[in-house]
Amino acid sequence: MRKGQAGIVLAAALAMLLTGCGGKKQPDYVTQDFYAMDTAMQITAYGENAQDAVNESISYINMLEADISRTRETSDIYALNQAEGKRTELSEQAADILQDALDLAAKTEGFFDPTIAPLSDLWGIGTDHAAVPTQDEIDTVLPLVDYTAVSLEGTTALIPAAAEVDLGGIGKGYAADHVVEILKQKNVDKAIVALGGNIYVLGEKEVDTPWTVGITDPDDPSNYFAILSITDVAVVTSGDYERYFESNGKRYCHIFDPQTGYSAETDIRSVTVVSQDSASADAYSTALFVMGYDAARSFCQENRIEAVFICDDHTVHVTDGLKDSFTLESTEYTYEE
Amino acid sequence: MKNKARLPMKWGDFLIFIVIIAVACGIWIHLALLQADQTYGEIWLDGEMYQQLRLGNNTQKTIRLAGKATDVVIEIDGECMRFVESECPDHTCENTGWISRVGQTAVCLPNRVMIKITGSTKTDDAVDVVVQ
Repeated sequence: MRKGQAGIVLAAALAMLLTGCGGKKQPDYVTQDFYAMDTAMQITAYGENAQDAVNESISYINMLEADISRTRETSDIYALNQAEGKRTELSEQAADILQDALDLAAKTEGFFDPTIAPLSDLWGIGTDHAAVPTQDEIDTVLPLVDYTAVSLEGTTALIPAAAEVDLGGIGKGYAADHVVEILKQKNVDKAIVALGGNIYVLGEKEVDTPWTVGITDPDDPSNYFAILSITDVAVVTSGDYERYFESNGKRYCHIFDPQTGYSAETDIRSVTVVSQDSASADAYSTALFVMGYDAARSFCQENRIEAVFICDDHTVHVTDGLKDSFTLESTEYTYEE
Repeated sequence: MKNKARLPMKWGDFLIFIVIIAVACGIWIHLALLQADQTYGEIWLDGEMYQQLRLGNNTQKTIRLAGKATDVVIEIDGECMRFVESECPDHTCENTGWISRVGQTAVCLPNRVMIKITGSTKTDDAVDVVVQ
């Protein structure tokens, strides 16, 4: 080949590389969207084993759902709810998550209660028959909401007839904790696990760079009002803006006060809990929302819970452990110490 | 006597070489700018991609599709998209409002329909994920 021809061939090769003909570089991550536990989920994992780790995580979540679903006739929790007061054998996993739920109910003095289902069914929020029930209806159902009436011995459980266990309140958090373990076992050291409203950010985004997690603006749910810069933690939000219905100009959200039987009447618009344990964060965010700001803030202090609160007067409050990670983005809210 | 420094190719070949490199650089810059700016609106139905649209100032479209339970209407306006109507019981998807940032999603759960914005991350997209 002549020198000149070689130069032109070299130029053409360079041109192919520049314009991408030399082969597209594969991304070093995998993102997968899927539906499970009655919500939309997404896992983004980085590294060589990412696809394998994501596949295994999805299988695990499906398996967990089959075990603890309240509506699937083949699940252990469905069997427990239909047992009419008889003791029921559960799988080890179902018993483990039920034990976690009962422990968290006790810790939150029942503000989080895994036996809330008869009440949420009565209100029907999120269904086409959502309505404010009569006081008589609430009084009939309320005695069934009592986590202390659940007896769990090893892997056998018993609940009163007509009572129901619903582990949806910590199910996604429990799943997130286990998905993170699966990812770590597969040597994935960097991932975002988003199971409905439960987020877990695994590892750092880059060396010495944390992940940035936006917190949804309750007044404009398509936007975020603040950012948390965090690493290796779960973030869970409970708020009044996602699932609700309005009657006579009043908003009734899907989070209930187990003491009154009504949709939670609280001065909190949303509370975001940050914790290394996603199941706890899940239960705490619900409980803190129901408690109202003053009680919730005291509870956080006593139990070393880190949280971000938005109150109905548009003030934002952040616990001490998150102050350095928190950035307020919206001018619609006022940060208060 | 010293030899004069000579090009390893003829002037004509050298000119072709320069032109190829210049054109390639131009294409590369054009593609890079295009990729940096372009966002897409994606509609996913029960885990499968239903439609992908280029978003931009002139994009205006209303799409009706049959979800798993009922019909869903999605509106695209410029760089934004939203669920404008759904016959689902909770209407959470409608309450989400417009989405416009890369990575943002909105979901109609009863119908298993998801809309999402994809493309290169823009500088004002400051977060990696949003907790809802």
